[in-house]
Amino acid sequence: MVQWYRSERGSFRRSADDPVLAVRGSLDLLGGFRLCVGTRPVDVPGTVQRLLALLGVLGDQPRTTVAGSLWPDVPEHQARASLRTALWRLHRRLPVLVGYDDDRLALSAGIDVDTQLLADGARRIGAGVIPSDEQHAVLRRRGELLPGWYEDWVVLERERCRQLRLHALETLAASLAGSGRIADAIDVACEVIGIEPLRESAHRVLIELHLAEDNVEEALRQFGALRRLLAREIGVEPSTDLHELLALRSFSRRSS
Amino acid sequence: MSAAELEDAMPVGDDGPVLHVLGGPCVSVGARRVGVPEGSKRLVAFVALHRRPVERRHAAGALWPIGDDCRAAGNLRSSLWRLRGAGIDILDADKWSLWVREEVSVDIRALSDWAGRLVGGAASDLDLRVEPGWEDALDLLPGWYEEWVLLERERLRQRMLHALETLSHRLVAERRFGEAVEAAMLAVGAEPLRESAQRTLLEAHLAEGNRGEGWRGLRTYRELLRRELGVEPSPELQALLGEPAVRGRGAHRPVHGYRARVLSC
Repeated sequence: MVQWYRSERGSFRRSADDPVLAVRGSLDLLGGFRLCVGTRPVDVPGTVQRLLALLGVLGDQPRTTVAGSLWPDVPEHQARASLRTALWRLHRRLPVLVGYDDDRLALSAGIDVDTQLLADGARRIGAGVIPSDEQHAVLRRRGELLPGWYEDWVVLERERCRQLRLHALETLAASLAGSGRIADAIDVACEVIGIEPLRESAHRVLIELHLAEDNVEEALRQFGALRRLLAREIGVEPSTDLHELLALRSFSRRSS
Repeated sequence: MSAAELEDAMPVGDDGPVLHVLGGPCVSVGARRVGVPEGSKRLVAFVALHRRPVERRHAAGALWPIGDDCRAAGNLRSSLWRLRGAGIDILDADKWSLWVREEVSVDIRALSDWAGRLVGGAASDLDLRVEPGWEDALDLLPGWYEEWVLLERERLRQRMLHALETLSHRLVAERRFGEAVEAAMLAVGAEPLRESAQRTLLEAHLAEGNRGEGWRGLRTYRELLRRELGVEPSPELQALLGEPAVRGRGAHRPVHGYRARVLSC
């Protein structure tokens, strides 16, 4: 008997014992679409890519929603027909990649999706747990979600992934600093700035780390770099509490 | 589902049966899922959408508006009978009304309650997270076009969006900025032209000290508004970011001599 469980997203998933959904593989969406069944890369046509990407990023969904997202500019019945055709073609080639029940579609439970790893890693970091090596690797991977794809849902999810990643890395840096692993923390903070140079919160973390090591010169240099960058790109000054943070440390150092 | 996700999955409802209107309607008892017979789905959904018992006549009239009352009443009885015949004991009825049995939890009610607690200011610390299933709640019973569904769909959608915005504000107050941004982004994602959602997102970025992110967001919103509606964001929204190159410069303390030299580079 198939056991149904409610996952964190609040939807039903089949147990991994279910032979129908036991296909193992990976779906990478960060940096570009790449599907592997087992360890073998598989080429699939554009429509199928969009279907798999949608299910991979957003989880299982009602058919109507999937049809509407993939074919937004046609009437519903036409979209559903296009979806049926796409599913039929997919099933001929890769029979167990997408499962369905009643009216919902789901990606096979055995396919690891990198955006899911990203979310899992971010969650663990948020809970104060160091992420697994796999999750860490995904967090630090540079690629944005499906570059060059312009569908609305991709644009939104791309931004979400970006924010999720940046916040997770900042929190990780803070956690590492809290455990005394300052050098590792600085490494991670620099990673964030590399991804998003205008992110003041990341610069702040780095500055605080330098100050934690009593490296006031380094902290000031970082602050100067931030100041120039912000002035050039947006025309603003760094926030006042950053100014105050440095003023306080500079003053106490000089007076000691 | 990754191994990690399998870890997170839990068997459903140890207590009693759960009526899932989202992604359904269907019923789960423990880990076992029971489909609702096709001919009874509308009835189940209708009764589930009302918190209080519904009048049989009202339900019959709404679900079978064409034809006479007798016919409608007969259809209602058949629909109930089919439900019982399938062994699905989630509705109770007397001569006058129908209701969902007390021991049955209804998913949209839990969501609606969560949203209500947030919006009403009665949210506990446990409520300060995005309730699972909220996405499905944005588009209740997709593909159903009857008026009673349309009304409830819109109501629930608005409630969810409002709840997400309130959640973001509460999370900012708790200095949980990452989660605050996430909650606001969910609202913006669902309704990109909704100014209150965009404002909430902007406020979350600013609370974290990230004006760069704030400007990015405002730029995207401005382009979208121009393209879709041919209007500009409200002046209040733009005011949140303040005037560039003016704000901030006058706000920091006078620099000490040594620092002033370094910072003037």
